[in-house]
Amino acid sequence: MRLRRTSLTFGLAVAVSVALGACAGGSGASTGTPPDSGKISVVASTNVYGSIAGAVGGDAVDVHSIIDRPDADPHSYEATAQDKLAVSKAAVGIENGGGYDDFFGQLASGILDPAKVVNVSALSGLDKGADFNEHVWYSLPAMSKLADELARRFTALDAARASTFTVNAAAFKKGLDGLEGKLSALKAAHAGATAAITEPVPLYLLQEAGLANATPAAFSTAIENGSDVPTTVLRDTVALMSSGTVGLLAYNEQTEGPQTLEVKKAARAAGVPVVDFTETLPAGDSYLTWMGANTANIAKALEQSTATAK
Amino acid sequence: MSWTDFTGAVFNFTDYAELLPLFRDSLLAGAILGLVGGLIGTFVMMRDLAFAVHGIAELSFAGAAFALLVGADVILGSLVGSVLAALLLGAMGVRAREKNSVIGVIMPFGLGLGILFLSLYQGRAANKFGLLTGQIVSVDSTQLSALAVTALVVIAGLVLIWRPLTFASADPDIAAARGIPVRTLSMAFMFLLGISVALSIQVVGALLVLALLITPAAAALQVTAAPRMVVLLSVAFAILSTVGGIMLALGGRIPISPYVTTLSFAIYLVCRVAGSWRRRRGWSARAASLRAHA
Repeated sequence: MRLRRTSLTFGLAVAVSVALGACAGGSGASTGTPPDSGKISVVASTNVYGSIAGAVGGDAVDVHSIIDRPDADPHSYEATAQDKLAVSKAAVGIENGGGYDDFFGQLASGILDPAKVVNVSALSGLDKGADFNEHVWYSLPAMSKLADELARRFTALDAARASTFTVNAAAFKKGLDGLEGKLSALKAAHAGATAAITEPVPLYLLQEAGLANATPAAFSTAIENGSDVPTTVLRDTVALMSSGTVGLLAYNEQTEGPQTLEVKKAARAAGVPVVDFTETLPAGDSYLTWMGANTANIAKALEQSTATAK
Repeated sequence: MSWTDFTGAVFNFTDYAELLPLFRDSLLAGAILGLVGGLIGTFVMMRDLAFAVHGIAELSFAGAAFALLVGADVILGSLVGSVLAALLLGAMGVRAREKNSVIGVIMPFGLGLGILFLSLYQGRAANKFGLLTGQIVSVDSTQLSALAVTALVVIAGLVLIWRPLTFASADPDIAAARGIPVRTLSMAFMFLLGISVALSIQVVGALLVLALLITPAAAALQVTAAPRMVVLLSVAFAILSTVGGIMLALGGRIPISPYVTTLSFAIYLVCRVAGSWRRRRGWSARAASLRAHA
């Protein structure tokens, strides 16, 4: 009988916790005051967006990127207490959305007003159904939209520096235009070229360079899901490398596994150039230098494969 | 990474006053989970179901993949998957000796089904499962309420079947001979286990569920054999691990889960040492007197 009484006490304790929880939800929403340093505090889910926010905001913003190492996978990141503290103080939050960095939405829930969060996938207008590729930062037009959106939001928070933000955003977009020019030149020079991918990470950039994706869809789907590739699909993908039709293999080193390695080996053996792409910003790069290097790598690979084909 | 870098990343209490109010929901969720985990964990240990907890956690994935395939809600799918898996394990493995092999048979089949559903699904699946596993750091008030309601249901259910379940867990044959519905009780318990595992995973993730449902009860069983003490100690250990782990983690630059798992493992180690010392010296005065009479 005594056992039951103890259980009853536990039940009461839970009931009290529920009541407390309700209060906590109410008071938690009021945090997120402007920073005392006079800078706009920005929290970005990855350092890619952190870099863009820094490019637009300059000295007027204080950027905290939650994922700033190239070896962490945003799809399955476990946030820390410091991350939550930074989010609770942010005036602007930037998340990729589209299921890429769900941890950000979970973290922000209740402590950062959704109106203060920029969802880049929604902003990009690229999200159209189940096949949506959420790696939107490889889409230069989407990043151009993001720069405008950030300039608008920063201006609303610090009107005195409106011109700085506009000038910075314009400079950033000019850099993007330069890259887009290079990509369309590639598209013109290598019409009809195709690329193989291990994962759809850099797909938007490849598309802008006019490269059609020749990989069997089942291959990249299996790699992304972390399940094994069906044998016929693996065979087709390996055969694709030696067929001589593929201009380059876009490779994601952050998710290397035995099956992507096999495809990489086949590509090397057949003389197909392998171009490495990462999901997060490499150390020491800004968004523009990073995408510049990616574009240069694509150009180099295409020249190389055209040379071998001749 | 030097030693000072390491300690700076692991233990750092500079922003503590600022951090504590932010984590009220996480702390409460940790306490509720500790309570449920400690209570249900004692039965998990008595019924030798540690592997089943792992199986239920894994099989939520198959449910989610099926829901994705048929266009249903993924989170609901994972819940249904867990509860179905738990019931199936309960129905197929009543005898203690069969239990582990039944789980070993069902789990890979279920995981294989999950991969099958994923490959049949047209479209990208990699970005659809992010919300399935929660993180203790980002518990919000909605999740906390859901967790608390589940905790109430599970605790109420346990209280209702406590005495016959204890009997049936300790000695199923004698309980069955006395007319106690052993099979029904087993199914009822597996249902409670299934919903608590599934919901806790969505709030704090699979790792912490394992650390809370198994380790504290296992530690308690090392130091005491008295049923009431096992329950009390296991609840106390579970709450100490979660709440203590979160409190230690605040301010550090690494995630919360390693603190909780390390703390609960440390408690287990201490209990093991204490238990072996007590076993050598005799369990208690009563055990000693029993031995003296024998």
